Amino acid sequence: MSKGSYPTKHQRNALILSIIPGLGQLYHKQYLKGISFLVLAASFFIVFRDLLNMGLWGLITLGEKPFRDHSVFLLVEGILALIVVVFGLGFYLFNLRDAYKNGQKRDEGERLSNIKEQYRNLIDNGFPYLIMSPGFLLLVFVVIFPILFVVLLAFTNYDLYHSPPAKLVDWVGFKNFLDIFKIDIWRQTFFSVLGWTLVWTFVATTFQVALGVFLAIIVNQKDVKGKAIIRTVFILPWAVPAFVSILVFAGMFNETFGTINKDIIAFFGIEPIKWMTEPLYTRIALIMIQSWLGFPFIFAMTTGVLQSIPEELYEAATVDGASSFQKFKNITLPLVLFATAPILITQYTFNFNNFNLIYLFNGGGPALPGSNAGGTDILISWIYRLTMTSAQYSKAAAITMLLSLIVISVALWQFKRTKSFQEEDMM
Amino acid sequence: MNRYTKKTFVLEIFGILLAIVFLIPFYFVIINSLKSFAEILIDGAAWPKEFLFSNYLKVWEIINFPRAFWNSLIITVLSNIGLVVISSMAAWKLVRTPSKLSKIIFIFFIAAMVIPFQTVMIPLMKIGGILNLTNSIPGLVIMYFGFGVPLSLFLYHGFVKTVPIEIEESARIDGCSQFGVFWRIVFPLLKPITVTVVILNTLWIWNDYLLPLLVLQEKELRTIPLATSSFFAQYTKQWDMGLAALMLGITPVIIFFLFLQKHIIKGIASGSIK
Repeated sequence: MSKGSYPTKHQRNALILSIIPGLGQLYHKQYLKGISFLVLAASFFIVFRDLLNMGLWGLITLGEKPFRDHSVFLLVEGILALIVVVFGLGFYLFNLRDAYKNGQKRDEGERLSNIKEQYRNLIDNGFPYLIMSPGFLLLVFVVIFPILFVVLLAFTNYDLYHSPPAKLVDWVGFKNFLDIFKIDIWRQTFFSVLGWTLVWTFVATTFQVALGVFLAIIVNQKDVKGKAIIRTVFILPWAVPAFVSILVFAGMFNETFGTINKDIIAFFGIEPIKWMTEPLYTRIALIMIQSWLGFPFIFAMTTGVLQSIPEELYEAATVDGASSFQKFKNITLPLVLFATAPILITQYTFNFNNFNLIYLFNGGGPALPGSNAGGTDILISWIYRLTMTSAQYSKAAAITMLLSLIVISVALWQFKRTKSFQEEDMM
Repeated sequence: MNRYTKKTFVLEIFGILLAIVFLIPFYFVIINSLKSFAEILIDGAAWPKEFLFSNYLKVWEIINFPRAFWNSLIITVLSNIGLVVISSMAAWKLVRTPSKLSKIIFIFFIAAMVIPFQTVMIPLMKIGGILNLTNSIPGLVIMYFGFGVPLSLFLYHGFVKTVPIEIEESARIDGCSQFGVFWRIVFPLLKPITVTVVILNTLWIWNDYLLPLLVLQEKELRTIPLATSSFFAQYTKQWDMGLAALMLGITPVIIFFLFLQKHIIKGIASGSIK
């Protein structure tokens, strides 16, 4: 049926009237709905007028007079205003759609729902979203809001020399990104930090995963006695808050009084090693510590998976004359890797951003001459350093965006894989 | 058929040796928490000359342990309750109303899961300051809601799919309200995954260091991890006090852990495989 073939034009009329929210509904003689839409729209403008006005002005100009206008607060207000606008637009679209749909119904000669039915509809269709809204709103303010803030900040010149309230911050377009790649010191630092971040992520994670899976398989051998105790010991490091373990390790690796230099290495007759002042050794120490910190989780997970592998598989293999190594290679390992692959990948993203360990062990140090990053700084701890000690807010934000780009693309790839995993349905 | 072969024996010995290696850090913490500072510096590995239990008493006083314990407890409990209520209801309705909007909302939550906390922490503090969420326990709890909802919702979402819808429908026909259906019928069925969610969130929140460090500055509001770390300043590390504080702090977690070990292994496996 093409448009305009009806004798009436309710659809079009209602849509046009709905440019002012509520009028379209009144036109349909849905008085209660129409009035509440009108009231909602009016109160939206009354309540948010100042915020929208101020926020959008601030977002565009970032302030005009130092001391009177605080650019960063204006930016925050601007983001708030943007979020309010998005919610407002959502409501507005809903209003248009409602009027249009009901107009269509009337054109087709259908009866519209009365107040009682509308109420029921609202309860039934609105209830799910009402229930979701607290979680969603929290997410918007705790996660999405800061992300918008970082994204916008990356396009400003907010740093030590442009810091409110004494100075104004300005939009500078892609300058921060260009600087990172063009100015020598930034480029060299960025790529050397990125390089170590990748090496660190790959080596440390692979180590901890291999260790966790290997130990789980050994401990869960059928005939091993005292499984429960060994298992408990292996999971114990997980119970200790990571920062505690890191501090303890920092003490153990201390160059002057740490046990590792004083007792363990001395026992083998080796000279004390400069764990804290020589970048290479700090890196080795970090990888060893991460293995200790990270493997219990993998161990626990693999143990869970191993316990769910049906015994018949092994029995059938035994009947077919498979050796225990063959059983391991063809049954245990594929099943474990298959079931845990999605989580294994999150371990890589976790280490990519393992701020706690790098920061608490040696503050990203030892310091390197001629560089604003420490010898073991990974991207995230470098960003922290830039923000906290040298007030390079906008550069830090730009690097944050580059980092997020990497993490998000890995994560997307991972989720795609997870889905294909589900479809194959192996277990 | 004798299955206890030489090979298993070797593996067992190997496992035990490794276990001992992994226990070394615990050994250091425990014995050094009972020594004087000077004795730690002289020899960190030796058995204490005399057991200085006074370290523990001093620490108890200095960090006001009952206060810190109470703060940690209230934060963990409130965050857990909120997260379970918010995310279980949301996940249930997301699964039961399969629309485009539901799908978009779900993707939003999942996407938030992969964003590293450290990338948002600094702007979050700026915004938290403006919204008056800093330096208050309710403010911290609200932030935990925001950060915890994605994972909890994800776990519930996977589980709700396995709950048959027929029971709900018949209850609805019998005149049960939506809330009634959820709390009386669906929620009890979600118990296994609720256990997993609570365990994971408890371990995370109780042991969390970075977020409380950023949010809570006032001494009265400190959680156990914060109070403990006060002995480990950048340049002056009071190892004797600090290690005793560590012991006090990790004891509750270890007890929690030992009691729930079975659930933890099961929970992790079921949460991750889905």
